[in-house]
Amino acid sequence: MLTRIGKIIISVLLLALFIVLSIGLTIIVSLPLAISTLTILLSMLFWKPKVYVNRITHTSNKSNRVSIELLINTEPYTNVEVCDELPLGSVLEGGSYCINRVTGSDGRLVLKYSIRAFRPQIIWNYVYIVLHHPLGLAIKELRVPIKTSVTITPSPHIPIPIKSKELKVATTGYMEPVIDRVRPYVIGDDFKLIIPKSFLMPGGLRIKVFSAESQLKFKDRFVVLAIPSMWYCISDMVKLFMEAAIYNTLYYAKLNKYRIRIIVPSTQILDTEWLSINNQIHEYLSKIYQALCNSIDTYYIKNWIEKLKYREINTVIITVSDSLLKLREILESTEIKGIYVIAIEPKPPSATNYLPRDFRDLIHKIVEEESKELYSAIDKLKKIGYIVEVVKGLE
Amino acid sequence: MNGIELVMILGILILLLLVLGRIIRTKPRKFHNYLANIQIVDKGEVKSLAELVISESIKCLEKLGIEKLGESRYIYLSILKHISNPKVIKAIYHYKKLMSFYKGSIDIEEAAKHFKKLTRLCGSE
Repeated sequence: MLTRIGKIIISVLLLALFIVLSIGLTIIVSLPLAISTLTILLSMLFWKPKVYVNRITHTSNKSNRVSIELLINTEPYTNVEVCDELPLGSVLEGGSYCINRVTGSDGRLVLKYSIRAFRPQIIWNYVYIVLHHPLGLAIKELRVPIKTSVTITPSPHIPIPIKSKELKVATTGYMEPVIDRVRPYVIGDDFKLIIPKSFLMPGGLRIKVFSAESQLKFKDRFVVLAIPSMWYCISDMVKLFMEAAIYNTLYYAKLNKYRIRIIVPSTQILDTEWLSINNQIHEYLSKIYQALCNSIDTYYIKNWIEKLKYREINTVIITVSDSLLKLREILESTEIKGIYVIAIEPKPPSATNYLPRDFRDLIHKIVEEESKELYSAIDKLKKIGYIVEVVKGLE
Repeated sequence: MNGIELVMILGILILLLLVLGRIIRTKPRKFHNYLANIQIVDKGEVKSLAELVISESIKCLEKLGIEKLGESRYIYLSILKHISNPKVIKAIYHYKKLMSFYKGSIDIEEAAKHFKKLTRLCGSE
């Protein structure tokens, strides 16, 4: 594809040649000019630089981090713009997946970045490359199909990227089984509760009495109600937010040994306890995501919130900003107060940094407006009696 | 001019015409513009950058008093209505260019320049 300058130069050259011919100069003068001009034109029009691309991935066995190395080999001293695809179900962790550089004398370019995967398998399909002609007369845009797939083996203890301290508020009722007091043994008490040391102590046997014995039955249950974005199945960005949030919640629960229940209000209801998940977290997550896609009907969401009244106390709603705005009306009309809501505030995608300044400003303006609306919705919910916290979203 | 010269000149002219024709016809191929597809949630709706730019441009045109330009191929015809107002004509020109960006015909840098000029026109109104 010719650039604007390229088109102007070619048009001027052709016009000059036509004028030379039309003036009537002899063939001896005009023919070499014509041949040389045409050679330049054709070489420019059919400029096809060779590009070799290779993607190398390194997966760490102990975490879900994947480092990627993209090797590009093309002509020396060429301006190259490269953008790698950020696979679905992953977030950028280090480096950047776009680069704009001039190749060295060997025509080699390396792009390095790392991601954090939230799916058992992540797939890259294409690499986007734009090559600029050395004289700036033409541009070559390529979509190179390079398919790479990486399978992640999950680790049981992965650091949590989203700060989960807010979740603790929702579980203030949770208590470890601690000894409240010691009392003398009476016939009929459980032998397991007898303190071994008391066999040797004067005064007879003693047994342990736990505090909150009666409360444990329900307070060790940490319930997450995932109200997804209405656009979950459309927007990749929203998918990333939701996946990261649920993934972190599951790991947080596992690290703290909470029993967890995830309720996805949809036609396909999921209601599973953490203990049954074991280490197959990815399979479980994929089921949740499948259910999320079906849960765009607000009627089901409303029904589930109504049912909560009779079910559980420790409830967390994880929501993305746009669905919180839609959720507000439902929450306003329900009578359940004290539900804990975590709203994920969206951030502009990292690729925004590569945009021209005016477009970058436009996106930042829209994100700011969205944040303002989000905070006004949060204020309204707080006034009614909900506990709402905002978590900064991932990129 | 003898016969051989005439044939050669005609041949060169035909070649020139062919090359010129190719230049005129050369339009960028439909290329997946990586950056134009950045998605943002705007008022509960997911929009790509290109869609955002168009909706902002329409708002801008409305400020200038132009309504319902849409995606018509005959946008330039509406210039006739506003022939007396050069600012509006400029705005329509930039909007037309941004529509080309929306359709994937011009690159993001060029579109940004047109967007900047269009927003300036609205700002000064």
